[in-house]
Amino acid sequence: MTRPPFDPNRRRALFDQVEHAAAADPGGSARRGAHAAGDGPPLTVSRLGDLIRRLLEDGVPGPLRVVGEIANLTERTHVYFSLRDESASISCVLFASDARRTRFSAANGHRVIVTGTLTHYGAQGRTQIQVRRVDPDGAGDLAARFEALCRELRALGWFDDARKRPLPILPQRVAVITSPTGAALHDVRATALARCPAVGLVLVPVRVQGDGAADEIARALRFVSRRAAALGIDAVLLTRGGGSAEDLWTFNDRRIAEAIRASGVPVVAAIGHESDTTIAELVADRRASTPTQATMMLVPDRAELEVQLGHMASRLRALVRARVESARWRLARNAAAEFLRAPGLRVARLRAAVDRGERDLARAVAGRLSAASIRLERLAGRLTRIRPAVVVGVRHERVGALGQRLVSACHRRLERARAAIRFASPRLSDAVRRGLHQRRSRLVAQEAVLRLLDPQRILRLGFVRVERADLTPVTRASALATGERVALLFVDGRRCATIDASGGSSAGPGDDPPMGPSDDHPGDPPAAARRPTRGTARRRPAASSGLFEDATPRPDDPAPAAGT
Amino acid sequence: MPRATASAPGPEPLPDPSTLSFEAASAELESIIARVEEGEIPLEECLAARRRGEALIGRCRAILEQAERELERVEPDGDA
Repeated sequence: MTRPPFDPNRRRALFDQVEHAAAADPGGSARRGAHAAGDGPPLTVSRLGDLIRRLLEDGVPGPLRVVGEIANLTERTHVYFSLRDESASISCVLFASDARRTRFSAANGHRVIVTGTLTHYGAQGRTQIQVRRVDPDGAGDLAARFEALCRELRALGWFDDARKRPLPILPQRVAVITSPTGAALHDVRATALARCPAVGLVLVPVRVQGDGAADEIARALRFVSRRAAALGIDAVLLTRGGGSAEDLWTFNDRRIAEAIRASGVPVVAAIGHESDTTIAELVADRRASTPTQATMMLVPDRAELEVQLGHMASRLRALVRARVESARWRLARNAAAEFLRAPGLRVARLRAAVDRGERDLARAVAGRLSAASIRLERLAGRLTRIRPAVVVGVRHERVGALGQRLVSACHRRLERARAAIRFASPRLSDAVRRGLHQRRSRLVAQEAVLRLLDPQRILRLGFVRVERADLTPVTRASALATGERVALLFVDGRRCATIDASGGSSAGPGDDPPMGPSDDHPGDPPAAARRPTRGTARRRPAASSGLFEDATPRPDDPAPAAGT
Repeated sequence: MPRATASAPGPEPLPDPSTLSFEAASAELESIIARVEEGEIPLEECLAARRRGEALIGRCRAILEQAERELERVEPDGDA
């Protein structure tokens, strides 16, 4: 293996070697000599081919390493191609068994180093290299291609963080694209189960190295992206364990990069060990150093999530509570809030206002009652001061009717007031009620007084009213001249009389006997008064109306009949 | 303007928490918290927000408590 690569330009030297080898063989030398001489039996083609094969295999022992460019590549059961340079070409065959072993996918135009043995295929008279393996030309070829692809994809923006998608917080199901037999799958399962068993894992088995692996992986990625919704998959984990640079080379395939970029769900890639970097990892949305780490990125720790949820729950509760509290505080500062905070207070206040209103009402009623009774008293007082004589001759029945009206008006008023009080509040104080009662009894007494003052009644008792011709009442004997004509008013009518000269008066001038309703012993009436007199009794409506007017309360207005 | 009224932006009915993914439920929860935090939610909706939040938290917990899932296996079908 330490020999320098075989160079077709050096074939001259090779043939020299063959000749030298043939010369060393005495039998062969003889045969060659014979052939060269043209004598002896001729060689069959098969014998010649066999000879060439032997010469090549013995003279050029493998393995040879030959560098050249691939051309005329055909893959049937085995792989056939030509290896050539500017001026020469050699046929190559790669048997199927060897083709499976070699990891290099060759194509026309690739510069490769083939390793194999030189042989001659007699059936077709073809000298060819039986290839064991094909390697890219040059020691730095893989690295160079990796760098080239990196530059290209970086220029396309496929590595940009901006286009990397966030991973789900808690994926429903994760598609695991990896070898079904690898250690990576075991790590992923164990980690996912330990962290959160609720996350489902869907294995998409693929080969992760060797010929065709890249295509298989790309197909798996496209399949998952296409069926993600139907399968409930919301993330992809693309992974494989550690291996040689050649093992990991699969993940530098552009087709995989394209499939990752086109994926509808985010992809986490963890290929090989931490020191390895593949194109797949650079394009993926997240890169992890190991399958376990990749799983931890995708599958959150359940306990951690529980803690976070707990935080959120208590934060929400605290926030809402704070919000309500602050609102309550604002409300409390508000005057209107008083009612909400202590409804009883307001009710009590209202009740107090009602009570106050009730008291005011009671006071007002009582005030009006007392005003009425004062008026009544005044009236009664005035009536008292009217002497029966004055009253006689006016429409005394009117006086009675007036009294009746007054009394009944008072009664009605009382009734109304009582009803108002009853209606207004059943809780009127006893004091008011007592006041009402007192006033009512007073009213009853005044009624009785009124009744006593009735002029009819006085006349009925035998008193007589004396009037002059001009209808002015005569209240004193001394006021009458002898022979003067007067009218006498009786309960049932009016008579005329003439004053006698001889009539002696027991009452001197200025001696005014008391005249009151309760006075049962009036002075003796003049004799003349007792005599029925003849005359026409005439009624004076004007006087009557005057009396009526007098009945209306007028403070400080002396009764007209009094003091005559 | 009956059409305008019909298409007036009313509060959209919130999805039943039991139909939400963990992702959706926790995202809504975050937004509720943010809104309460910024005082965007009227007071009378505060308690409703809290009820909704509790329901979402309940949903998230229910998802976490789901039983251990079997490893499934799917074979990629024909390529598209």
